[in-house]
Amino acid sequence: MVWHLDYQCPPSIVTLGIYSAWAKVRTKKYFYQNTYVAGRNFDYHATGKQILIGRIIVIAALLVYSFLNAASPALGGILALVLLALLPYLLVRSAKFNARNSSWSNVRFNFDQPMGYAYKVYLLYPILMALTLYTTQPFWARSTNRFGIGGHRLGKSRFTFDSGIGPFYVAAISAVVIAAIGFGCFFLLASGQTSFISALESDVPNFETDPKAIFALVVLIFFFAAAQVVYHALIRNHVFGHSKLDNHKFHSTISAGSLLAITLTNLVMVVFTLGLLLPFAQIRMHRYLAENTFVEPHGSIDAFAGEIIADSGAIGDAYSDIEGVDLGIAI
Amino acid sequence: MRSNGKTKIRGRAFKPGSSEMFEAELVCWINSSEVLLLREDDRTLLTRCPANAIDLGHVVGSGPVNVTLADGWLFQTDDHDITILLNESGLSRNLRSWEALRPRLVSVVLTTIVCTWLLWKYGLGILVSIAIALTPPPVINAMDYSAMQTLDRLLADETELSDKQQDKAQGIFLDLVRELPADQRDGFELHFRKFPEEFGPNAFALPGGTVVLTDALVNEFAKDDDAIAGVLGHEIGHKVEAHGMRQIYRSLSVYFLIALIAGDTGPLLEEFLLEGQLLLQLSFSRDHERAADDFGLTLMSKAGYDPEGLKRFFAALEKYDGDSDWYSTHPLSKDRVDSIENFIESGEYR
Repeated sequence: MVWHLDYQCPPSIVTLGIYSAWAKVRTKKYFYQNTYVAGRNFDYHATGKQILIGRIIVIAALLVYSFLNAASPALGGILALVLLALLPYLLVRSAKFNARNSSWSNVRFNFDQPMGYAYKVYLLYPILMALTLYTTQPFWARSTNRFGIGGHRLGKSRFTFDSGIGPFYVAAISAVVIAAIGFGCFFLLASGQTSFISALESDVPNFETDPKAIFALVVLIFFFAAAQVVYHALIRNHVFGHSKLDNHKFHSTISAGSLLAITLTNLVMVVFTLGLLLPFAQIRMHRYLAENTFVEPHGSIDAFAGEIIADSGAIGDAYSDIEGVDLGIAI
Repeated sequence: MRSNGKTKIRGRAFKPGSSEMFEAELVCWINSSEVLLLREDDRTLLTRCPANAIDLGHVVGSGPVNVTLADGWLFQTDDHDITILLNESGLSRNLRSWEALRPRLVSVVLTTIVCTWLLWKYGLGILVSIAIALTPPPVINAMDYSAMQTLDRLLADETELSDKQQDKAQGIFLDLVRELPADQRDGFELHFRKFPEEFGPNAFALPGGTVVLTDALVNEFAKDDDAIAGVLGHEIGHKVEAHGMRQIYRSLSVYFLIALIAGDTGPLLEEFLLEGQLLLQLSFSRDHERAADDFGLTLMSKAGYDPEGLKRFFAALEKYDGDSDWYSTHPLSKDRVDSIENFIESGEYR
């Protein structure tokens, strides 16, 4: 939206789009500065200008892409492949930018992983995962966490993560089972009603005249949310429990039930206030996660040190904001 | 502004580039050009720094304030008097004060809502118009071309209409296009295709001016030139008012706005927001249909056709309708017949 801002349009109309870059920085600063680990807080150092430039470039590129795609599907197909091939690079850029512009206790984070490794994890493994009909998804989930966590440093100290594959399978299978139960309930509730099935087949679903159909849909959404949340809770607890920074250990005590309750009540709250309570919902979720995350220090936490590496290339960050993709670390 | 006479602020100091932390005190005497950072316990000097080389950073909310000294020492405090001591800029102070949780925050929130609504209602329209004006015509023509190719491959067959039938429709089409102002006549082309039966009598327009009639439509209204003229006028209206391009630009920009402004909404919510805007998009599409109806009626009556024709077309379409319209891209045929009657009665096309 912001790519063709010029003097032709009244500033008041476009400020919302432009200000969003500064709003992001301010929001992140607020969350980081008010999050404490071992009595010390985080901070976020990127500037609105960097974020805005990144966003303008990405939006312009995506607009050009969508028009070339509409004008010539063949060319669009080639560009889609190019974009796919760029994805690992953009993810690493995004992680670098965010790490270098974040700090804890006055020490900056950093992120570095060989580009070849990124292509393996985010391009090759997903293809292999699809070829095995997603039965190897847990291996991929473990490798993204190894890649993402192992690439981060606080100053000169490196984070590490490694574990067996078992817990990843437990989490994935739990999620699939819950989703399957949801599907079962959905079809059970919906099957008594021929009108609903036929409505699904035609392109005009008749939800309005059929309250039972809406109920079935709500049940389906509930189980889907539950599957997502249970997976997240299990993986997060496991990954934190097996991550280290030097010899300092981490610990996460998320409960799937509480997380599900917060997710659903947040959803209801935000939808029924038309977004007005979104900040409240975000803080509530952030606070729950922070309160259930612990560090077990082994050694002095005064000993971290490193330099500040300026990083203003926010293209990867803008891309991951717009497309909603990230490294897939369980945080 | 150093009005309250305070000269010392207590907090924590961090060694440059290190997590090593000291309980510390920042001392800034009135009229002194230098600031001192002292260790709290033994009062030893950690560093000193010219007062004008201190960076107050961006103070956010009521949380801790971070101050960076010239040589890289970081001083952090929860005592917001430091913003007075170090002359926080008016802009930053005002921003913080408006963000604070006070009754007047309600007015900030309300203003934001009104602005968002204005942006959605009017601002996007203006920006979309600018974007359309800036889109090069060859790009739009290429979109028509590739859309037709895709249709031919997936859905449509060669027309089975006779040359005579085609010529007759082309004649009506020309009559209508001729009534347009000279600078709007470019790019119009009429094509015929045979579509699978469930599409029924149908027609559509692509952004570049390609208009397509289905065989079923031409056959069903073989003896009713006014109905054909009504449908063609409607489709010409879509192209002249650039409805297709508007919807493309609009959905792209709304997508960007939601993705960027809502930020990290957490699980499920983002999907809800994006689906919700699709429903709103649909109402937008129905408005476009009504606008194209009005445009077509005016155009066909200028070209000497009877507006009743479009009414007959929609009356014939009613048998294909459902019974509700909020999730539909098109208004119900029944409603459209009513509004066409109003249009004819009002006589505004004459």
